[in-house]
Amino acid sequence: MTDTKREAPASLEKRAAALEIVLRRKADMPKNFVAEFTEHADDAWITANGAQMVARAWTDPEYRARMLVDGTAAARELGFELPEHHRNLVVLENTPTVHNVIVCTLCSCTAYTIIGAAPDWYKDLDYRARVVRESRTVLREMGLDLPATTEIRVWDTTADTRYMVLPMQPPATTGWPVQKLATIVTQDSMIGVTRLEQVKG
Amino acid sequence: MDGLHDLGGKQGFGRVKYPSAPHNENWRPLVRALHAFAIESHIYNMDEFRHAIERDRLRRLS
Repeated sequence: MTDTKREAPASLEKRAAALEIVLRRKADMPKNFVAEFTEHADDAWITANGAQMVARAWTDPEYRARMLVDGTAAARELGFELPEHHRNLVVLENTPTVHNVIVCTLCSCTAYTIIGAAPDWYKDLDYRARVVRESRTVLREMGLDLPATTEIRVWDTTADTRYMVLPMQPPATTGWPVQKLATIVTQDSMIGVTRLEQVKG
Repeated sequence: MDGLHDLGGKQGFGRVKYPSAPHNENWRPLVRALHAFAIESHIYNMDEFRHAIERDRLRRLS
């Protein structure tokens, strides 16, 4: 492969545009498919969905229990869908001594309808390879310095199992209403590269 | 396979570029939609998709 001289490929913009034309001409892709899909993805598949689930779990122990048994059902309960091929949403509960972090070593799988599209760094080979081998070091480099006594559990996403982390509620937010709590839950905290305990009331 | 999934294998990965630099490339949402259409229309399936990613990554790493 490396010996073969190849012309430099066209720009990504041009290749994507060419692919769109091929799919329209040869696979009958409707003219408005891209616009409608994009609008739906941008409106419906957002981090606020997972944030609402987390805030509800913090304030409703029964919901929390249901969520830890069956994340997919708990998402549906609040009106959030997962594509059929995602199959299972598994919710991982952080505790004072256990920290969960998720990765997709194979590509960039995430429960994107629930926590939003994966950030670029999540797809980097550096993250995917190293968070498994040396998670404590990688988390520290990313700004999360966990004590040696904290157990770190790394979860590798698969084609049919998606994960989200249930962060611990910051003590300063005790008694807040659900909607206000949801505003402090970040995507990074549901991936597990940050914790929220330091959030101020 | 000496790839990133082989935990005893390929070494030398560096610091995670975190947080990611913001970008606004319009080919990304377009490709996301085209990919969704291709899957929905059974032009290729998720296993083929992942295999293609893997081939491409390995080629770029080698």
